[in-house]
Amino acid sequence: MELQEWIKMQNNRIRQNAEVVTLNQAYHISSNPKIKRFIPAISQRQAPSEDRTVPRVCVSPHLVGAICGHAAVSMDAIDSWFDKKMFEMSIYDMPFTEYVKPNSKLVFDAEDTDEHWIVPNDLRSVTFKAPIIGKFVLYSSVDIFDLGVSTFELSFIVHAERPICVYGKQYHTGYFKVVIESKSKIGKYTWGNAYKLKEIIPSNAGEYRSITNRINKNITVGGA
Amino acid sequence: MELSAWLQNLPDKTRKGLTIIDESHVYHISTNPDIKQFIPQVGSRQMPTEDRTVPRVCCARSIVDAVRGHAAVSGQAINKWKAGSVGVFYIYRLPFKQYIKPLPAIVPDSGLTNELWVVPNDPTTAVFKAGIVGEFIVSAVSEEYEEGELEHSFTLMLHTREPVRLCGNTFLSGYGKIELEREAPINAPVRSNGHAVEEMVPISAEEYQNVFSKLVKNVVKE
Repeated sequence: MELQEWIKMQNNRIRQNAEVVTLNQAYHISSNPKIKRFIPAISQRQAPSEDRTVPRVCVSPHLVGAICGHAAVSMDAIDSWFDKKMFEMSIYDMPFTEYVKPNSKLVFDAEDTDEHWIVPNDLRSVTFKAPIIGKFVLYSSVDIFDLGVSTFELSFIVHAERPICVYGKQYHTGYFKVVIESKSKIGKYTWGNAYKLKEIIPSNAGEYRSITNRINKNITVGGA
Repeated sequence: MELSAWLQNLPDKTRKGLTIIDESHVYHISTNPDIKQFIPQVGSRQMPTEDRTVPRVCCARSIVDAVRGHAAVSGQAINKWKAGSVGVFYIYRLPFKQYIKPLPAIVPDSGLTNELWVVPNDPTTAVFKAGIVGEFIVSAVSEEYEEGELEHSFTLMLHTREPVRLCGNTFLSGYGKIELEREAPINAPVRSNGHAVEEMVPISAEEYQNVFSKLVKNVVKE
């Protein structure tokens, strides 16, 4: 079934707040490097106000959006460090060109995350494979609370085996670092996903190795 | 009862972990500006391994040590900001000349915090009053997880109405700023309160007021 047809069969709220769009690329990120098949589902990590009627695989057309949409990359990485485990995320490249785009009435932070959905509209999308085209590691998470204004900055080092859209029309391949930032008055901050791209810095395989080695060394020092 | 006599009434294990020291300047810090009387007791914020048999008022011979011993100054400040208030900490100067100093066997992080106690050895210490000699605010907090290390720092802006010992033999009468910092692998033992003094400088009344006003503007809800 075509996506347009599928949307017409959904409830009013979905019909009025989602549209079909064409994307050149869409990414899903995961700490699991062994996802054999994707199956649209309603996960446990959605915000309370988000739709729970449409099974989907959440994706974004750029890496920054995928990281913002995940909303817990830094927390998961730091938790993993406390458990003395390295934390590397895989970037899966979705094999479709048409996607469902929910607006902010369906997904409150859709504007920040550029979230799109793969829904089970036909046999191809009910269960599908997607290749890993890159990996990244969080190496710095900085929270600054200055006179009541909070600034959060996350830094990643990425290894892209194929060109990856980092943000907008900025495609990068090989090794590079990505810095994203969120700034707001304290108390206004919600859900950890309003990050904007701050900087993309070229890197290399040696630096990727050095950073992961230093993380491994530091997280295994001491501990109860 | 003299402190030395009071010590003799304690179990051996406790007594061996406590000493008596003479101090003229000793402070307790609190976000409560209206503590009418202090009563020695065992609080709810102690580490699990700390002694819970001796009622006490925890205090320190300097503001930096008091902040280290409190162990949650920066976190409490951020919570106060989120709740829409500035989060002023008040400095109470305690009125005694002798204090109990617990050793690490009794308070495991006492080597970092130099914690002192007022204990109920007689009616003057069982319930007592102490005057506020100054206050401070937290102006900035930074928490950086960098390649598996945690760097935590925060800045205090202080105003004291009489000479108050900040650290070592440095006293402040007026306005000042202290920056504290701690950096270590995230799984290293003792995480919360081993901050070193990065900077300790006097500031002007205008600078203090300026910071205070900005904080009010950014956090206080209308």
